[in-house]
Amino acid sequence: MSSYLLFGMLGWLYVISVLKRAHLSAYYFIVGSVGLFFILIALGNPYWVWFMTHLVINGVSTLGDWTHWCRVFVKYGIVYIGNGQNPVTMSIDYECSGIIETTAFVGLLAFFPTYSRQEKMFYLVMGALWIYVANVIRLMLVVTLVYFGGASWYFTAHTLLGRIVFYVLVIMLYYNVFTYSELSQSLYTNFKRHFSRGKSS
Amino acid sequence: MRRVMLMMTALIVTLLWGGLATPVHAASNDSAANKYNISIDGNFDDWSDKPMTTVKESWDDYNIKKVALLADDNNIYFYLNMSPEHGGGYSTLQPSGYVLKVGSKTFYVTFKTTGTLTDGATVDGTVNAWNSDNGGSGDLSQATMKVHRFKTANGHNDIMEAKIPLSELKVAGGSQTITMKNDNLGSQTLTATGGSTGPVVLAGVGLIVALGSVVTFTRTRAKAKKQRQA
Repeated sequence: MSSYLLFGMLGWLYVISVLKRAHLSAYYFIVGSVGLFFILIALGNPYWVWFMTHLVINGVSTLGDWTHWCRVFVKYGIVYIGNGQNPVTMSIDYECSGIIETTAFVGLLAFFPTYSRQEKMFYLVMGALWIYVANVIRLMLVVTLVYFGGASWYFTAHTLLGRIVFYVLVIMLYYNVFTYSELSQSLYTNFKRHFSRGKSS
Repeated sequence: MRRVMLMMTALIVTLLWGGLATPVHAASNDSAANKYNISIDGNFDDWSDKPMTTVKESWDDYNIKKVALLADDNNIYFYLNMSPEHGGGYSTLQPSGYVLKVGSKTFYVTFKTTGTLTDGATVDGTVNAWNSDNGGSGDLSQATMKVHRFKTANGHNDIMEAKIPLSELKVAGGSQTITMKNDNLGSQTLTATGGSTGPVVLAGVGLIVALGSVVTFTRTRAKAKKQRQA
């Protein structure tokens, strides 16, 4: 860890403590969540990036195992879509792993004022899972379209359709969690009720 | 506040473990400079666990080649096995006719051996990648290649590996789409690309949604406080 990062973290902790004491909620939220995002991103490379890329690539491999439309090379983070005529070797790296979206979600949720610690933990786990599944669905869509359509379909599959599906799914999550929608409330209430029942029995 | 500080400290201590492990991991993995552990040394074992594509003409079931194209942030890696199944026929290295596309730029690539290829010999070579925008001769001084000629029952078989630095092609790395084709070898086109999610847009949207909610919540709470005081 670089000394710049260490001093940056100490400075960030000091600034958010000042903002908290000054009751400047919106500024506290912005500085806190953005700062935490950058700190987590800086600390997460390479360990968490490695973990996330392997998690995603193993998710995609289930499609390959069932259909043989693709082969994954977990060690190198490669998805090989072998359609015979125009195969595509897709590299799953930092930007494809979903770590940036997950970290942004964690940063925003950590400083979101309306939730209790238990609620934050619940939404953190649910949100990280949701982003992961959305990313795997996006990549499975790319594999399917490129396998049947060839490499010429890659742009449409990846840059347009794959991203639209992923954006819609992740924005649904942001909306439901950060507007404290009925859906997110009922999810947490049901989880809590179920958990409490299990505890009492 | 104490809770927040405690939570942050716990989180940072946990993540420090990952951060401190960085140098060990980076050293063993040769960093991002070569994430595939490929060495251009005439020993082709490092290609055995990489995705290979069969390249051939649809009407020719004898002259079958195995080709691999990989790319990282810094280099393009290329492997060509002229006749893995029969070790004969069209098995001498095809030096020219490669069309390499990196993003919107097209390069016409030639692999030139610098020594005489004999059975059992490994020779070096130079790579030429000509592009009309870049101009010049197209000779790449930092690109490396090796060719080995294997003696076979049907004659011989040439296998080549090459590394082309993206900086010498004057193109950026990252999530570029890279394709390679040679009509002399077969009708297939190889594509190597990244799969970015476009994360910055989503992180920005998340911040806007959450910030809007925080502002609304703060205003509602302030209004309620005022009403209570009144």
